[in-house]
Amino acid sequence: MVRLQIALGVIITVVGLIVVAWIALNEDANLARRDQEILARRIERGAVLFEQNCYTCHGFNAQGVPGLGPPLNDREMLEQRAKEVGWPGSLYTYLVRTIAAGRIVSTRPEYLGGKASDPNAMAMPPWSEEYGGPLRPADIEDIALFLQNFEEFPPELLAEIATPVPEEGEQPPEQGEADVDAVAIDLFTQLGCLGCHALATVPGAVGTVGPALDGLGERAASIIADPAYTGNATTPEEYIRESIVDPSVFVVAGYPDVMPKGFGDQLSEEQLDALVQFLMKQ
Amino acid sequence: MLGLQDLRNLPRDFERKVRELLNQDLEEVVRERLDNRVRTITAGLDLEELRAIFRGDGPTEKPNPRWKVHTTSFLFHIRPRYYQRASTWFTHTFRLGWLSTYLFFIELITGIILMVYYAPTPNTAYRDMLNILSNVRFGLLMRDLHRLGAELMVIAVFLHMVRVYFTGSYKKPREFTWLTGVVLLGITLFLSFSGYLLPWDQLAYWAVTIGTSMADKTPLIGREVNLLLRGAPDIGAGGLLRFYLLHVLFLPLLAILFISVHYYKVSREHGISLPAVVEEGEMDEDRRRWAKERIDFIPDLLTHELFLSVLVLVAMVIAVTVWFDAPLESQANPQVTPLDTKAPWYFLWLQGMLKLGDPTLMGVILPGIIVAFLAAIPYIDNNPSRLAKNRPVALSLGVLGIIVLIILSYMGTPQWGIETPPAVRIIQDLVPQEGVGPFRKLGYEKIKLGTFETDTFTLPENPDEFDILFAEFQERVRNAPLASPQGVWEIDMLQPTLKRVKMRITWTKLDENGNVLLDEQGQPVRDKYEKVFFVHEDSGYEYE
Ligand code: HEC
Ligand code: HEC
Ligand code: HEM
Repeated sequence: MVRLQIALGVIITVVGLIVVAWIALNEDANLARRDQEILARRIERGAVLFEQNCYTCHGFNAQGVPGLGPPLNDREMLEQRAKEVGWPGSLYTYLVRTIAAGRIVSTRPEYLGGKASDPNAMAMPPWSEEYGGPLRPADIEDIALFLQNFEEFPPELLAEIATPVPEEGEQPPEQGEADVDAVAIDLFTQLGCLGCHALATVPGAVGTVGPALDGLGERAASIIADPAYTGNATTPEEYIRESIVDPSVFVVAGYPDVMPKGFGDQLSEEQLDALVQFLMKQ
Repeated sequence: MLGLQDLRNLPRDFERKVRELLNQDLEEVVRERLDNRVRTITAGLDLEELRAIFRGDGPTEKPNPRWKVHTTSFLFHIRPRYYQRASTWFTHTFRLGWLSTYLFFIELITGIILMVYYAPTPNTAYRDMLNILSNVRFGLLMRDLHRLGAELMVIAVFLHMVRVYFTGSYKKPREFTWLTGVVLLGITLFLSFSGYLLPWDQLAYWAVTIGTSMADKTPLIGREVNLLLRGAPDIGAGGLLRFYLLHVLFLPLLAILFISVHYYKVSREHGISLPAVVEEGEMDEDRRRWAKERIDFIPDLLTHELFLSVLVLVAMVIAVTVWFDAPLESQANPQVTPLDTKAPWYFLWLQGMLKLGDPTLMGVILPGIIVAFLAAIPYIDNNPSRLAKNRPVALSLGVLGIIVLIILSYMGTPQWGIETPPAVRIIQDLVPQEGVGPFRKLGYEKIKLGTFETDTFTLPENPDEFDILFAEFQERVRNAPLASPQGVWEIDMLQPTLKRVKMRITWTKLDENGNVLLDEQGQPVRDKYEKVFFVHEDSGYEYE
């Protein structure tokens, strides 16, 4: 018995050593793989947290919402911003600190519209629970990792992010009308209209700052017929154009006059037409 | 002082020394020196003796040098010099007490290594776990071994108790040994449970929240006990630190103390019991004498235990490399109650009991009575015989107890008695809050972009995994107990390496009488459940 157990014991020990050696040989590769997976999953989590907490001001795709918050996904932000404000650390630490502590005084009032001149308004509230916000340090880090992941973006891809990339073999969108619609949806997304307006036909458009734009084409006619209407439009198209170019002329009842005023200068004539045509059909 | 004369003599002295050395039997000298070394290390066994031990031969000197080890060596003095043969029969003890002790040591060692990389605060604990997995060589191995060892130890201790019960080994004079055993069972369970919280993930947080809220139900002092454990009304930094201290300091010390007492009683005072047949059963007298013969600890039992040690350790290492993974969910979040919370499996029986009635009665008083009864078994059972045929009542009660335990544990599993709304259930099954689930399991590459609707989707001719999964979703949505249900998946890219998935189920709202609710425009009101999540290129879900 003693001999048998010693012999078996030696064999088992050798097997054990082989297993451990095998683990050891693969350990570095496995560590690297798990590191990558953990990072990837933190980015996923950060994206969820961003969609839950930040879309109202920075848009669903972090493209910014005029008048509410700056874009966080553009080259300027990702490559210049930290240097511009004299931040000594990396982009990542800049993001973490900014998100955690918020910002008391706006650094770029041009993004804030009317709010910037309000001395009591905080540019961005703090988000970390350390400073009275709702998120924990790990949450903030995950969001920062997510935002940092925009770095991989080649700028030319920026325009495409909002609309799904057509799959191979799928029909390309038809020319003509569909094309104009695509331009309009792009604009609606890029300009951040979706941050304030809900619209069923545009993915991600669920904003509640402004009225939902579904059924606007029909509604527009009754608005201009209403005696309470203070603008100059005589047709529904004109009303929609006016609402975009000069929102203050008529402010929809129950909503504040916060829609940004500069869209008229930003948009070319074709782009404006595309938007109006598109909204008419809603 | 070294004089001139000495210097002059030096060459001659040197020559003489060399001659002396050459005249000796070199082999002899080396062996003698080696022998002395070996004797100091092995507390008195020389090389020849060691080899005899490993060959399984008898002692080479008189008096038996192997016995001396038991007085000169600290570690060996804990073990008796000899056992009665029958008490070491495998089928008598199944080595379960030994296994419990061995696992405890494995836990100590792996635990100390894990402690090096772990700080018990809410902001660092979870991060440290991730670091152990992704940045510490053999970190995953240590963690898995520690977790597996803990669960095995619970099993081993429990089975050990069961065997002691069925062999009647708790009877006079071993009542006190049994009592310390019951304390050890409690310590083992609480060691496991206190360790459960430390990773600070959702699984841990909610299991422990439920566990400690049970303490709340204790009459009179419940609130105080709970506060003492948690350090605050809710588990937070204070609670984590307290559980940590319990887990790495207080309970291990207590365990070492009680294992020592327990072991002292077993090996020094009473010896391991003989099987009942040998002690009082009918048996050929020669065979009985043989069964009661003394066998030495060295070498028979020593080699046996060494053999078992490597066997168990290697089996554990293989188990964790092949299939056993210590779970790690997302970071603990007091704001998000998971859909399925469950107790660690060794407390499922308690959760099952809680479903049966009043929490104070079922969660505190009854378990208290059970423990008291367990401790009192040797004093209640005054049947002097240990033979199975003389203990019909005790044995049937034991079997009954185990069956009840299994049933209660089954009732404690989450499926039993808790319902989730159908839309939530369908999506939760596809993309669970924790873990991977079939959708993520497809992997980044196979997740298609676009909008997919249950109303319009038809399975293409050569469906891929994605299509099949959507078809299953379609099937479940259509059959869900909801009024005109509709399901949508919207999938687009948010970043070049990140896909965004929206899953939504909408259905028509009904009032209590089953009538369709209408809004101001006369349209039916739709209810919806939506989940938005992301899949990153490198997440590696497909490999899990
Ligand atoms: C109430 C609106 C609002 C919300 C909600 C909001 N932000 Fe901001 N955020 C702003 C404004 C306004 C600024 C620009 C401040 C300034 O002008 O300096 C800003 C700036 C930032 C900046 C720095 C940008 C730069 O160019 O320096 C980051 C990073 C940022 N936000 C991230 C977030 C994240 C992450 C969230 C969600 C957790 C979030 N924000 C939610 C309004 C908001
Ligand atoms: C900062 C939030 C905000 C942004 C960004 C924004 N809007 Fe508005 N919008 C509003 C608010 C608030 C109203 C209602 C008050 C008013 O009429 O000015 C409104 C009103 C409108 C109306 C009239 C709606 C009606 O029901 O009569 C239209 C059309 C409109 N917006 C289009 C757009 C378009 C197109 C964009 C993007 C180029 C855009 N908005 C961006 C806040 C916003
Ligand atoms: C950490 C937990 C425990 C450890 C480390 C431990 C260890 C041991 C060891 C090494 C033995 C020697 C015999 C054998 O290996 O079976 C033993 C015997 C014994 N144990 Fe335990 N034990 C533990 C828990 C328990 C429990 C829970 C009970 C019962 C409630 C118990 C009751 C006994 C009794 C009565 C004996 C004497 C058995 C005999 O003489 O045959 N022990 N224990």
